[in-house]
Amino acid sequence: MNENERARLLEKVMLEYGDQLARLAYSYVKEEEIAKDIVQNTFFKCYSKITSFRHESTLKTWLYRITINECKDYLKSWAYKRSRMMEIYQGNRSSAMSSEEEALKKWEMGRVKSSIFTLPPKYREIIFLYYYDEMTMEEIAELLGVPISTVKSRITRGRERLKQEVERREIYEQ
Amino acid sequence: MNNKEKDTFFEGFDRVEFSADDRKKVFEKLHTRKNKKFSFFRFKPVVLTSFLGVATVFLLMVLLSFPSEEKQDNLNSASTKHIQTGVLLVTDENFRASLNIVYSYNTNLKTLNVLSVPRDLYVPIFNGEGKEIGRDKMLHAYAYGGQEGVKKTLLNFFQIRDDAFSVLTEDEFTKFIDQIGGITMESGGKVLGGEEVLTSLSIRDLLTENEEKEHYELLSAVLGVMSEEPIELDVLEGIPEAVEINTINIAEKASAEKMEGIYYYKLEGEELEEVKSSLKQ
Repeated sequence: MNENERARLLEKVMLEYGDQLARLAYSYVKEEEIAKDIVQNTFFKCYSKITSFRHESTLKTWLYRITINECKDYLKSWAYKRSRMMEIYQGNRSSAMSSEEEALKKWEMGRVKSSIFTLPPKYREIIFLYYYDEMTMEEIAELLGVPISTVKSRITRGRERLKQEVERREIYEQ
Repeated sequence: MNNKEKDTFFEGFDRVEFSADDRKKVFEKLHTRKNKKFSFFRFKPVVLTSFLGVATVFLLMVLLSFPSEEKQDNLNSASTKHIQTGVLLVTDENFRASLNIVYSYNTNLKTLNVLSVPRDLYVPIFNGEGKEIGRDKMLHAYAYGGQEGVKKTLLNFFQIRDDAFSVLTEDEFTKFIDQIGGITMESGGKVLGGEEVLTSLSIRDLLTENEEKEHYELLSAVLGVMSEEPIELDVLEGIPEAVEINTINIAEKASAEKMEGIYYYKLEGEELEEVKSSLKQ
């Protein structure tokens, strides 16, 4: 396959999976621009491997895995920690809250609309993949390398937590 | 979950799109990378200096009409055959190198000859200053002389030049493998993550033929992706993509020996010469 054909194939893959991956990354990093940067890196890495995927399912799993790894790396990175520190210095927070507590507060105040961000990451990723991306429990278990029983319990618990938050918000708004 | 719930939970997600502009940025990055891509003839200045040094020494030797010595022959054949030799280490936190790789790259044939040195190989150990300080297992070279010591020990034992030297920590190595989505094994199609790859490569105690085969299959796959992947890893400099990898199997050449209750592998005589010559092809 020559370079032009490879580039056309990459364009096709980006059209097909770009939005899905950007939303997946967004569910982790909560910032649209950072999410898109991460997905650009995923496709950048994909270019040299693009011809080696025989089945579409393997390509999709690979793209998802790379994006998730990149997001987790970003959340552990110095850049992320520094941006969080800046937020503290700028007085956005009055006390030391966790990222989820902060999301909850913003969400209650109506500044952030989607309640998924109030969940801790381990529930958030599974709830996103199951309800938003409509992946099956088996697919999620394979993608994240966790037992299917864990996927099931996290879906149940994550959903319960989300419902509680919605109820709390309704009370708060009254 | 009903639609109303879904809308509340994921409000704003549909708005996030990977736009034409984002796709364009990917191609721009690829374009930049291609222009930056290392070509074999664009060595680091230090490597170029060593090449110039080698060439000067060789010229002096010819001019002064020294008798033909083995070392001269080596340099001669190496420079005419365009052989680039190097060392790649993966080090752990306990002052040990889990992987000691020696390789030679032939620019004419575009072949990469790779030797993974067993940790139990009995070798003369050199310190960082290049002084021989005794004989021991390859495994202990790092503790005696650090990275420099390991390098000098390997360069001396296999009589190769120091054209390229790279070191990765175990963390960097496993992270790299994970970042690229693991290594897919040719036999069986199993995907191994960073930790699994490192563990598999580190188990190399018996030197049976089968173990050697599996070790080199995995190692070749790793080296293959290292030369192909766009991730900046700073190893295998000068080795282009799509290179043919030949492995140097020493299972049948090394012999096990017990000295003062400790097992070592010994590689000497003709067998050692064979390995050395594989690194000059």
